[in-house]
Amino acid sequence: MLPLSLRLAIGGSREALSRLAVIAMGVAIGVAFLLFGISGLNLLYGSSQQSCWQCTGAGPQSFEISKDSHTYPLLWSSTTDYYRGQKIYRYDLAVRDANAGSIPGIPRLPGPGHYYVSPALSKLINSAPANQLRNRFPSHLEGQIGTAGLSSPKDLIVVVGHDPTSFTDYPLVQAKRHVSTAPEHHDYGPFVTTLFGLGVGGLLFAILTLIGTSTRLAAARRAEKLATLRLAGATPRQINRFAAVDAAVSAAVGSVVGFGLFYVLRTIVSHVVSTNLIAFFPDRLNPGWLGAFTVLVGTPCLAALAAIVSLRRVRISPLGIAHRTTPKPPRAWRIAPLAMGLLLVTYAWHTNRHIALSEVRGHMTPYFLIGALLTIVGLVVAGPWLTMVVNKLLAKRTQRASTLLASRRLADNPKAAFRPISVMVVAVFLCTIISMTTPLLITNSQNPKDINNLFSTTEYTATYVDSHWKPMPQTQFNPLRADIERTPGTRVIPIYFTANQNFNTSASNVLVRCADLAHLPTLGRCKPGVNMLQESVGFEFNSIIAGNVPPVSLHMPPGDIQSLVVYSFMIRTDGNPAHIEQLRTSIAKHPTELATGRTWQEQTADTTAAVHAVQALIDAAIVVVLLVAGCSLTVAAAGGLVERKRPLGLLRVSGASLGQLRTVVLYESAVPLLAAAAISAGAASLVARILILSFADRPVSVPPLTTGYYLLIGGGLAGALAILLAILPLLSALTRPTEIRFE
Amino acid sequence: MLDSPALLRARALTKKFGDTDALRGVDLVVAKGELLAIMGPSGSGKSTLLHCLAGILTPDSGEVWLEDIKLNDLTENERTKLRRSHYGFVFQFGQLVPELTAIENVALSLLLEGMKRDAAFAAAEPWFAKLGIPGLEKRRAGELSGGQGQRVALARALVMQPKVLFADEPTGALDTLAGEKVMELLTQAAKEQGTTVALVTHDARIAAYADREVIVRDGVIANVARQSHVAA
Repeated sequence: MLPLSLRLAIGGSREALSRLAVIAMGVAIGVAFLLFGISGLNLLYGSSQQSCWQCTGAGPQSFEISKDSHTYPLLWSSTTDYYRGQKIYRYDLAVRDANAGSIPGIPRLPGPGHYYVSPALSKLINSAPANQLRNRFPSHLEGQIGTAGLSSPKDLIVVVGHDPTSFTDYPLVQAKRHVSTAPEHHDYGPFVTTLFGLGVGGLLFAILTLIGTSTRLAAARRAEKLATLRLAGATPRQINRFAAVDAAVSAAVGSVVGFGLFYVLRTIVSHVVSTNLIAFFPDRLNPGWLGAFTVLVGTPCLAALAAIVSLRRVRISPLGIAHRTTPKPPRAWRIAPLAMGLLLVTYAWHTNRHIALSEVRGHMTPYFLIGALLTIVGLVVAGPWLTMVVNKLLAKRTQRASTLLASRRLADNPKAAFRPISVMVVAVFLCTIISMTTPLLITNSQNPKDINNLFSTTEYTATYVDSHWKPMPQTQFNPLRADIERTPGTRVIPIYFTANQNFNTSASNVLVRCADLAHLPTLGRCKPGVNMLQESVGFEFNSIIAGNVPPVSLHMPPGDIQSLVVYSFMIRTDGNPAHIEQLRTSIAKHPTELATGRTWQEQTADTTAAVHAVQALIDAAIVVVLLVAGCSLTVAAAGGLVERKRPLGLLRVSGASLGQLRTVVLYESAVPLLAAAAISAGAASLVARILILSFADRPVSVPPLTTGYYLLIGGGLAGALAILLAILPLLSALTRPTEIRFE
Repeated sequence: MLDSPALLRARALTKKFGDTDALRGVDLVVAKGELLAIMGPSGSGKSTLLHCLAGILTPDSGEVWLEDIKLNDLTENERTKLRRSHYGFVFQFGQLVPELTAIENVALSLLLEGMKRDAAFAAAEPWFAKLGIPGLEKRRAGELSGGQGQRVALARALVMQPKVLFADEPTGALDTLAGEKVMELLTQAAKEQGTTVALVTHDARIAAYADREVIVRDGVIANVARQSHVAA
């Protein structure tokens, strides 16, 4: 039975082989996308089982104790350094005994005064002047960290060894049992996890739709073959087996080709993603054994199951095939969720409009959220109904034969027409909302007092905070200050606490000398006759720009000033990047100072990095969804062509030009794609506009969508359309007048 | 069709499919307004001859002329335009677009030619009464019987008022009664319009509707029955 099934599946006519090839290609593309998706998730959630030695200072495996404990073999400190905006991850450690473990990629943990660097940092060190970068590290370079210890070739990492005796005095030092060997476990929090979940679900739906559409390709033609087998005496059970084997063979071939595609394209995709999103080695983009096995075995199994299920919809008898039920046309109720969503959002906006800007507007939030959610779901639910109504209307009014042919087909089975693009509708909606609101979020977090320009390159802060909250006496601080101020154009502004202050309370006051403040007036101005300015919050960037509490000027006896301890300090610079790196190097080589500082730009970049990362992920997802939609539409169009080979071929014989038939096919696939994208973007734009106007805490104008957004959506749609164009040679071949005689 | 001028001429047509000779030097002249039946057993080359005459297939050698137009010299695009403007086609089955209603199927040819919608539908409508299927205009192809579907296909072919109607086994999928009805309508409508008909059939009763029968056997015309006099 199985050999016969296989013989029928792969040993048939030229048409059967062509069908197998088209199905396999569709499945292959779907499988490749699926493998990239699984690999991406593995990468994001660290399921690759690679040990995370960098997690030694944090994570659930860490066992923190007092740093001066003598019972643990390893002292460890993780800090972040910068060089001209690039983040350098610095790991300082001291080994107490041989049980401290090891770091992958280096032969042994560095001893005092020795260090290892990643190849990218080694290159950077060699290209930078020593007083700007090299001098931050000890004298003896042990070697480079190998691939096993790195996440990507772009990693800027340094591992510095110290003497355990003196290292216990460093801030941020933790005592550890050993270097962490557990795999990295990322926890992105409930919001991002939910977003990921939705994205993965949507992507999975789109890819499974593609695979499903591919395996059902030319189902009617296949059913005709099965009817012939019934005539030859095959039982319904045997028919099910034939159909299942037929679908499974095509899907299996597609899965194998899909794996090939995945491994061929992996390097290119890794390069593109590493450039724009997250850097990693190409071989880290790996579905894992379980993922690979599930895809390889699951796809043919699902295809076989889908084939058997789809046979329930048709009755195959020796006399031919008959559909058990005509698909019901979508009903008008489908428009209800979309209408309700838009109504809810509009109602919430209307209510919010009458609330003053300064008042709390939060009570309308649930209405907005439910309204936005209903709008997204409503677009998907209403899609088939809208497709049917619009195309029925077009079919009644069109003057052109090609439009008549296409609109009738779309109106005939709108659910099938809309299915391949339903996920794209959601993706474009989310992308539009996020593209419209993100610039506002970033602007909000940056610049309420218009101090961005002043702080952008000319101010620099080093914050002196560790888990044990250890402020520095002025006597200890002054040599560091002198060292820093040797850099041209710099002026240090220390920020003090009183020595007996409880530093761990949020209501702590900080003090600045008026003489120092004169060099950095952005922080505030002293009234005449006083020598100190007191603020109720720390002098950090975020506190400064918040500026909610006015500073208090006060006069303090000189003796009291001398007793103050340094909590942190800021540095006014001349904005010269070389000078900033020089002073950073001065801080780093200071024996008691490990805490590093950031420029305003670095601070801003760090703050908005998460927003940009989410945006980049959504950008990548939308491109993938658009391309998958293009593939699904192409496969569906190819299936439609194979099934209508005879009528379309006879039309061409009767004088319909190839151009007219091309218009039909493109209309059937490209128009729904473009129309759905436009409607989705339009609805999202409306909802985002209302959201922004309703929730802004100050009068704002809605920012226009950026060129990047249009390039992203336009590029994605262009890619999908380019994939669709692949159908045209098939149309030409299938409807060639000479072919009609073989039908 | 006696002494009618020649509309279609084929001279020394040959056509091979692989190693098989489908046509081996066929000469044929079809007069204007004539109803010609091409008969022969399966695999004799009768459909190949029809397809060469219609410009669907290009012969390996020989010439096909429609009046003073030599089909061999035309490009595929030019042949497509010629088929659209001068020829009509009726095949055995499967020529109606399933999603379209009957009247849309008939009007389709006119719309493809660029005619306005209202005019195309106005031109299509009378054919339903003429071919005995009034009231079926709004039905889909799948809702029509075989005979009804063939009449709609005939209407679609004739609504363009073609010079030549090519029919390849037009009644092959119909029962005797329905087949005869279709042939009656076909001959009547063609005569009314002055359309020449080239009909392939293996059924002698269908061929009996023709003015002339040619029998193709092994790629050559083996016999001509009821010879007409054509002014070459």
